[in-house]
Amino acid sequence: MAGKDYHHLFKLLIIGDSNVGKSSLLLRFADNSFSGSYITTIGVDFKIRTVEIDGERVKLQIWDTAGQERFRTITSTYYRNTHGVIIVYDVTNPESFVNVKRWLNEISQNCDNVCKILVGNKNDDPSKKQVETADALRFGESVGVRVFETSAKENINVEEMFMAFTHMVLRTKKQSQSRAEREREREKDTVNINSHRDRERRKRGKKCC
Amino acid sequence: MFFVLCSEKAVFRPTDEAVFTTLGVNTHLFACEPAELETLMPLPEEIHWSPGDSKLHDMSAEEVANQLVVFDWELFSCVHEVEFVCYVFHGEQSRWRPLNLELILQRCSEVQHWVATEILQCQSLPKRVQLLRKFIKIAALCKQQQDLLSFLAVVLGLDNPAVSRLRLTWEGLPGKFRKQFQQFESIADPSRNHKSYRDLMASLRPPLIPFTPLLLKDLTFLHESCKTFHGELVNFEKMHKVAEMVRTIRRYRSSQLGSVFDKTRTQIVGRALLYAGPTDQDQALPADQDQSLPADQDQALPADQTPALLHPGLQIRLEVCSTLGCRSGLGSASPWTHRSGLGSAPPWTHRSGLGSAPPWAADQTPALLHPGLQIRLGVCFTLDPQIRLEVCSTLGCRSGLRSAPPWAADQAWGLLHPGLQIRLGVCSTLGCRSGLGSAPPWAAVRKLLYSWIVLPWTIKEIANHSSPSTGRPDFSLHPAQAGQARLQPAQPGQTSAFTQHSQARPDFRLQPAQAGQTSAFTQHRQARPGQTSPSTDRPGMHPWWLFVLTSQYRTTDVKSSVNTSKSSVNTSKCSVNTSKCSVNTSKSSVNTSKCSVNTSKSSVNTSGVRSLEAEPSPSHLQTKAYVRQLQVIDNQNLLFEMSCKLEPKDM
Repeated sequence: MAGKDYHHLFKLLIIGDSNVGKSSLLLRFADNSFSGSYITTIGVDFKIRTVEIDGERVKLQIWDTAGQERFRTITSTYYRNTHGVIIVYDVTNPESFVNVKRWLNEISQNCDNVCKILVGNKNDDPSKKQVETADALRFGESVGVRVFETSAKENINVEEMFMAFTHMVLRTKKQSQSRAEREREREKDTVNINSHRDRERRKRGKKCC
Repeated sequence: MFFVLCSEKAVFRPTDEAVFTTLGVNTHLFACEPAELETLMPLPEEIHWSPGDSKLHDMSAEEVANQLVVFDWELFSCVHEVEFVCYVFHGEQSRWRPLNLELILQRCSEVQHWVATEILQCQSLPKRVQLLRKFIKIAALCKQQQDLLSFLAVVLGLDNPAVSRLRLTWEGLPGKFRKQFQQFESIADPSRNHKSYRDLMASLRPPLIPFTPLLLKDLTFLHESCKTFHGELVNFEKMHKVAEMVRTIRRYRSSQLGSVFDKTRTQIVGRALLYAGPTDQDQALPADQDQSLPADQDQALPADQTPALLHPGLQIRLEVCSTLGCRSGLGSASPWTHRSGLGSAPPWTHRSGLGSAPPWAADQTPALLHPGLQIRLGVCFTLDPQIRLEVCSTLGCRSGLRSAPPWAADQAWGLLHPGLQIRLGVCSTLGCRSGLGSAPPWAAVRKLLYSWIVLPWTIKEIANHSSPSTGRPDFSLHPAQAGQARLQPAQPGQTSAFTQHSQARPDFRLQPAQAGQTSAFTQHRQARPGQTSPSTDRPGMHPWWLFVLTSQYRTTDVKSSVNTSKSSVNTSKCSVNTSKCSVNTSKSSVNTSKCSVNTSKSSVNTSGVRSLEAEPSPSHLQTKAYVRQLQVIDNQNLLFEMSCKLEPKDM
């Protein structure tokens, strides 16, 4: 790892309806700050935080779609090379929860294989809560996505959520790495009976041209 | 009951005011009884997608790119600058729906999906490689012609994961193209707030077509990051910035996108003639009739009557109308299908197969349809077989504007972008059927242009067509409604750009989309019972005024008295005197950047608002002074009470 201060670099993306607290979550996690007033994110692409997991330094590059969820054409560019997507909804706003399905749909359209996590933000005032935990859990189970409830304002569960997600992404990476290795191993053991013929054909092809 | 059949069905209710949308790809509009709803099934070709060779193989990349550029340019030049501001400042709640802008956004994703669909539909590998090459070439050509909208849409379409994982296809691509595409991708890269794209933009000179979604994003951020008011004070810095952006947009289209446009236009005209005798044998005009029409008519038209200003969305909607008004000489409709991207069979064929109420029922017995329906669907007047003109539902959309009664638009005629006037003019036309008693249908239809060519119909002839004696609905004013301002038949000098359908898109059609593409039709807006139209009887107040006022005096009650000129609400002379402030429009225009607002103490310059060019308005307003209370619900649900006192100006 010469020249690098980390072992893994992951690009994570936070999406969700406008005003569900995506930027607040990010700010809380990256800078441990909270600003109550709603400021749409401008010009900030991503924030970086390095965490340590099982002795390995993992650098997280967390992208915020910055209110661009209104412009689908643009957001589709954000999905490139993403390792994990955090879908955020607002527990005080049922509509944002309903829209989670749409976001999942968009992810499946734009990414081939990516880790996902569902986060219900603004979970700090039980009187305002409108999306029940049980409902969210049931939904999460049905689509195979883990659910967290957080509050960026009160700093509840934010750290835990990000750490758990990083674990997930790391595990996925290692799994796919070991799978690739296994395949390479298998390839070594395999004799390609067509290789000779292939070479022949290629040669012949060259002659023609 | 009307509804659209796509992957989903959307039923329009009688309370619906307007359908704010175009027909999407594979969307069909049906009219039938509620009971028949269940019997409607998706068309076979929609369920079973059949792979096939794309028409694109037969077309050169240049041709496709040119068409894309021309289309975009038409669309982009139709977007009024106000629409940008409206879109951002008022958002969803805007009573002034930025339709053209939405069309651009829609267009952008349509192209994106079209590109991906074309490639994925192609089954043979070599052909797919060829297609991929062609698209990269198209993107390059669009970039060269400074159409960044199509350029990025194509690139993003190729970036679609379903396309980018076609490993063999990409490997088959020559290195040169692959390198070129990588370069293109880097322009679409969002990092550092789309730096590479912005750099590219900075290096280009107008005319150019920007990637509109990004423009809107910038405006949105500008709006949401800064407050418009600090207490009682207006945030001028912000307004200046918004104005600056609007000015940039203006600069982008400060000159015509010349060379391409002319070239392609001649091509289009050429093709128009080819299309003039199309498949529909019923009422298509013979080609030679089209040809015989004087070509110089075309040149004689002022700029805003040239087809270029009619935006493509019109054609899409025309189909809606035609669907309903099957009587409308559908022979001419087939070219539009190409244009509108409806790759599948024209909707009316399905419709007629439905066995529901015959299309002409609406026509012959207007009472059968709910009045609102006509507004929505825009089938406002019947067309005779030879008349290839439909009033489109876009206009209907406009008529759904809560603030402005249709005739208000007409009075404020000069305030609007030519494209808009058209619609509003029609809007009032629509109104006539819906019982508004405003304009006779032919008012808007003065010149019937068909594919750049003026057909020799006179108003009289058209008037004859719609006279009651022919069994068509009576469009004349009802006494009860005569008190309302009414539209006059357009004066010869006024535009009726209205009618030219540039029917002649070459065969460049979007393929039927995959299931799962959303029907654009579902977003029709419903009338909210709580929000009554504040201004059904408020001559002279154009929504624009509301916009100006609401955006500037959000926090104050504005008591205003509006002086109108004696015989008309003449915007050029109209001054809004308020107890706290008076808005004086400059002689001929309220300028975007300098809308001068004279408060009781100081004169304030506000920017960020769009120029309103005033024109002499039709002299059909009542001179009677009267007072109206109107409540305007802002997007932040602030309540405004404006007492508008209208009285003769020349005192």
